[in-house]
Amino acid sequence: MDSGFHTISPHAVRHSPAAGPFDVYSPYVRESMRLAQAPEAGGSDSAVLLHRIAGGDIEAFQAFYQLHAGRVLAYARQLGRRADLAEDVVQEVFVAVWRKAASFRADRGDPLGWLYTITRNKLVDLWRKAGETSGLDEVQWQQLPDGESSGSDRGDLLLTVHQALTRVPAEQRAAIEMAYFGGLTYEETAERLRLPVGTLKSRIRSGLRSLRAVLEGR
Amino acid sequence: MSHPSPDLLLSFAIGRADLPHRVMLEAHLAGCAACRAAVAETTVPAAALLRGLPQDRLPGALWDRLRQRIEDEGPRGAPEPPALAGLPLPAAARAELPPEVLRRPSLHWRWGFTRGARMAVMARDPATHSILLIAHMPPRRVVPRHLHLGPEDVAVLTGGYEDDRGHYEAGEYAAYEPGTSHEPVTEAGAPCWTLTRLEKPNRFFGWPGLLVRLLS
Repeated sequence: MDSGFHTISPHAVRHSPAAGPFDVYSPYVRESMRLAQAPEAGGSDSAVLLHRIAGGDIEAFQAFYQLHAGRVLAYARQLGRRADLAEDVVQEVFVAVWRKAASFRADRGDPLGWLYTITRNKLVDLWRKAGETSGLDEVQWQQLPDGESSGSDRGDLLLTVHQALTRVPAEQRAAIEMAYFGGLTYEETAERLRLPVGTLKSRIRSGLRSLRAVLEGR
Repeated sequence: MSHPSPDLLLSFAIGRADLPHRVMLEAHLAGCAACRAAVAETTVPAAALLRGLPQDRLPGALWDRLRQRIEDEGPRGAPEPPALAGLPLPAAARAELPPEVLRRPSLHWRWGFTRGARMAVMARDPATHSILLIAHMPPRRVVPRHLHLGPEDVAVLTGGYEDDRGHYEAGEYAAYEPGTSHEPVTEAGAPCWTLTRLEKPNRFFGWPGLLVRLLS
């Protein structure tokens, strides 16, 4: 084994998962899982629709599209520098929903969080193909409409994200606005905030914990 | 149990993970409740934002185009693409692969880095210049010691291996920093299948390394 080369510990993270999967979820995520397991009458819950889509149910797919595609379109129009490509983003997002529905599980949390990840992936792919490093900065993000929770399928969301962010420490808020909600890369955000990239990521994760706590009313 | 770093899970959740990372993380998440929970927690504010957005008016033609794309995908339960037949790839990881990979008649397998072992490039990400490799190694085989010129991530799909740092079983995820070296040995029993992400080629050493370089 003596190769003459210095070896460094791999960057793998070792930790013991909690005794059961439910022990590692916040109340908000647990509530999402409960909703997925006990759908409302009529089966219109997004998680249930995803389960049916996984089975090839085109009507469920259309219902999921009608429930959420308008929001994805609004988001893509605001984030993309080329509004004419927003419809292409929506199409790519929902093709991915069709392909990946079977991978959605109740313990992946809120279906809209899963949909957000897919949407961001497609937007970032688009920016990269177009040779853009990013699409949206923190100023544009603040112009996104932020509706009240009324009319949503979760009555327990009492604060809008914009309101909740005002209760997060300023340095964490800036990092989240630029790199989590906004379109700046880690490197661009770190440069603007004059931070090492590693510190920035740590700050985003701390900020998200604070933001979640505010959204969950803790 | 070895997991992806919290930073990598964050990147994945906000769409900043490249294609090889996305495939490998989906493979890991399929079997790891702790990391699924971490991703779920990370996307709570994102879900709240999306839910709060008003619905933009959807052009009618958009659904028609989408439906056509879905019909072109073929029915659920269709035979798996020939290139992926027999590979122990979780469905969620498979769903991340771009259509051009799925349309290939076969993967271009390379043999010889250790007896009975083979590996193939599954995908590339032009933005990060990273590649995704799938490798199959019989039990009790030694991969010649090699230096990581760039970062190397490994997701174990079946079997397991041991190296200077520890033992990695199916479902585990290891990440090695540039400048590290190792000499993995597959465990007895089941063959070891792995997904590997590289940004730069590894440098193999000694006579086994010379053989690898010649065969590559």
